[in-house]
Amino acid sequence: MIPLTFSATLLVILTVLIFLGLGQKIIKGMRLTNNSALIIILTMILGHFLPTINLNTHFALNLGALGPIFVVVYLLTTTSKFERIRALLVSVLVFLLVFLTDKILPLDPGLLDPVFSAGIFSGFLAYFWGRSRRSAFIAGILGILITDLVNQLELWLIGIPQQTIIGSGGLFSSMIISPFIAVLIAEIMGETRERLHAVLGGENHE
Amino acid sequence: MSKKSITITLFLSFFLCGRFASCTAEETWSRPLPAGEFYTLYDEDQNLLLETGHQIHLKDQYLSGDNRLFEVVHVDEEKKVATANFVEEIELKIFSWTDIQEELGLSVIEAASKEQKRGKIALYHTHNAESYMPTDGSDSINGKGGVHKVGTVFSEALSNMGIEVLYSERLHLPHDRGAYRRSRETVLELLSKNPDAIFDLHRDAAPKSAYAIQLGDEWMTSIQFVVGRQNQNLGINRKYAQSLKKIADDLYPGLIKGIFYGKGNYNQDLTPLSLLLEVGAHTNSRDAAERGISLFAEVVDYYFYGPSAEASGVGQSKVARRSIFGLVIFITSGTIVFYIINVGGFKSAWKRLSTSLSRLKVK
Repeated sequence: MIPLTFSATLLVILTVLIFLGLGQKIIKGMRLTNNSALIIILTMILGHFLPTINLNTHFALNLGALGPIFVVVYLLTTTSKFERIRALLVSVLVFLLVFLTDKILPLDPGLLDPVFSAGIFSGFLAYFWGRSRRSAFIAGILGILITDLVNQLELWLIGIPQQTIIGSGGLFSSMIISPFIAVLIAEIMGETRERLHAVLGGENHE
Repeated sequence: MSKKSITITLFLSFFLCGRFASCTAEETWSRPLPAGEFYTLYDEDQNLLLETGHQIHLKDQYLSGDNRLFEVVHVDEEKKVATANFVEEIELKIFSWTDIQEELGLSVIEAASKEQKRGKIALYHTHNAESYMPTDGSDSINGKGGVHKVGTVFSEALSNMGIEVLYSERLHLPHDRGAYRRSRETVLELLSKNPDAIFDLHRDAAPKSAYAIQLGDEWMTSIQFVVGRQNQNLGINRKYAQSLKKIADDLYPGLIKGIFYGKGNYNQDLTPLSLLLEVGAHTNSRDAAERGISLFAEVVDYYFYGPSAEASGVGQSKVARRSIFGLVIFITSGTIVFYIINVGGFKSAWKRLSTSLSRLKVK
């Protein structure tokens, strides 16, 4: 049986602890309560254990994907219309960037690892376009979901019978990693900007 | 949202769209390096070290067939030529499987019974379309390419030795860099079945001579290991790859062409006993690749279940028990404990949860 290294274990545990303990500001930025943030994370963790259901020859659904999809729906329905549109637009842009970099950049994962690219794009785009942690989180999940759907369309058009599994891989899949990377990037950029303002004596706009 | 942000976003999108629009569908499918294009790596004295379809980056390393380690110091992207400096001569050692398990800090337990001597080996293909031009008629086939047939031969060779093979032929198309994101799901699925090791089978894009070897009377292709430098398992991956090479060097000298330590993680961050194999190049015949991989199956058997495992003193009957599921349970428990501590004890945690639940009910 293949084990995971201690460092990987530690990294994941630290990430979870950061989200919960040190992530108060992030949770506040996403306008969530501690409890709803905890439920979101637990839903994603527990989703790892859920099975995959065959829908048809082109799609299968890992029930674990229902967690992130539920979270996206929840975040979209509990925000303003303006932010909802912005989050959806950022998601489409993230999809475009992921899709195009998948095609343009070399096949090797060296530059801008495809597993993390959606998270990176979501974090930067959502921050530059309104400093929104909520949009970053939503785009991290939706960007991957849309990319998967478009890839399936691409294969269908050229007649390749490949089944796309929506949301498989649980905790370690791009769909789960990306929103957290996105929020962390948005947060780090926000913090850096705030501190730079403080150091330079500027006014804090956050 | 400021005008500046919108401008930056739109510029980025249009720039990428423009680049993409100039590629035809054929170019997209045959990326990154069409037939005839490959990177060449030379040492300081301009001796040829490596020809490969892998993009070579600064600080990548290459362990040559004769166990000399080089580090890339210069890359000419236009000509696809790189230069590497000699670092040191490596005396390969065999780190047994159980030694590696112990190094990971895992508890070692009695597991396999005498009847069940051999364990499971997992195989998959990230780049399903890869094929062998002389026998498959193309270097890339939309769907299951020639590399799948090489995988089948590898799988059968392992099975014939009594090893249970978890062979996933799931497709991760289109043949682009997103394939590593899609194959991540396959790796995780295979890992949940607790294999002893996992191999991602590819074929390289290089001239015929780069991989063609003669062992005994037979012509076949050599195999190159690829290890991602950007993964936290690099140290153990390195020992594992070098151990396999050492055994192969003893059993079939020349079968392992070398070890390329490249930029990226190739999903090897998920487990330390994961290896990417380049079985020949698109210019070699698939038959030659099949002969090469058949011999490699013996190397795998020797390392995991043969004299190498027995020599470690604890033998093959001891394996580590932790799995990805154990890790997830551990994280979940840690999260709950941390939450309880964070809110000031069981009572507060329960009170908060009850309040939240009652609010949900009211809604």
